Amino acid sequence: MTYNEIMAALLQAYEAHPEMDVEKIVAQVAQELGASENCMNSIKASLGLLDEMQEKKSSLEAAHEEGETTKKWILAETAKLTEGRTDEEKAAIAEGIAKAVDRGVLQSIGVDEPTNKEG
Amino acid sequence: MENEYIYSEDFQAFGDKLKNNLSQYVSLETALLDGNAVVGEGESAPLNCVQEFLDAPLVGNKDSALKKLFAAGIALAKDSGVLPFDMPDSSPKAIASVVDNSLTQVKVAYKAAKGEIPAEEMVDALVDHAAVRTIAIANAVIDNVEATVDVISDALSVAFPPAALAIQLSKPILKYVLTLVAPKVKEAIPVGIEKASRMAKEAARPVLAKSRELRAKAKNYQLNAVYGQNRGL
Repeated sequence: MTYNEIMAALLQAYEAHPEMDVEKIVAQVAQELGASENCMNSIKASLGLLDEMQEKKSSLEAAHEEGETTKKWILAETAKLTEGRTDEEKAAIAEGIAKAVDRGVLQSIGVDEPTNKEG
Repeated sequence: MENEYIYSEDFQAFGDKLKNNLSQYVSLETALLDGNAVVGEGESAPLNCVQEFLDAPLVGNKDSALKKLFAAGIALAKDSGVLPFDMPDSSPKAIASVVDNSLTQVKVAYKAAKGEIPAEEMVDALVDHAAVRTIAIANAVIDNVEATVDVISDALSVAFPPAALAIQLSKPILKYVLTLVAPKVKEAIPVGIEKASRMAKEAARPVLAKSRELRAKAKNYQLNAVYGQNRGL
């Protein structure tokens, strides 16, 4: 099966049964395709992460409705996910998160790490 | 409690820095979007579920189903060795990020083309989604990795590849979505993409202006590291 055929199988199964749980549709099509156990685990993890993204999206939308900024939401969420950690760990986690995006920016403009730390 | 990290100026500075970096990253990436590059050939085979995805508001939870189907499709195609585009990292984090990013791009483009979202809000909408992805991935990895700067940043960097690579990954998905919509929608989406790209180019100007300076500094640092002295460049 080609990629387009795989996508068609998934989308048409959902189109035919929009009331069905999409994860059941995915499981069905994956089984028909003889997907490996690794693949099934990967799919489960990706879908779980998409659920997490949806949950955070709803949280951000609720924050905006309360008049909060995205920055304030980021801080609140970071405080939540670092709860129970030492201050050192909290700072490291926050810096690590910022660094990941910073690296993406730098690589996008052709700057490889490490950069001048004094800059 | 007052001197806890989350009450510190450093924590506030982190929030400013992250929001700023996300804006820069999304602007750089979106500026590379090309409406003409995603128009495919061949007839459309419109699907209701895709149109419903595009029509649903940007807020709310109507986007999940289609994103999950695309994520599953990529994973299945990769497993079968038939993924038609190169995806250096096909981990669950990478797949979820690429799908969330590209389907959001097409939806924002559609809304912009229809005039449902002002042009100046397009990049903000994409930045908000990037913020959501960041926190969601951080949440997912935090308990399984060492809490150090480099380990955390490495775990999250999958969601922030260089902009050119990010576009390379989203382009096939955008192209494929355009085969699943009616002809009028197929015409509208590239218009919206071009609008987003134009707005993003404006937003990216400051960081692009600074990029020459940053590249020079990086070169200077690397030369210092090699020669062990300040060359005063």
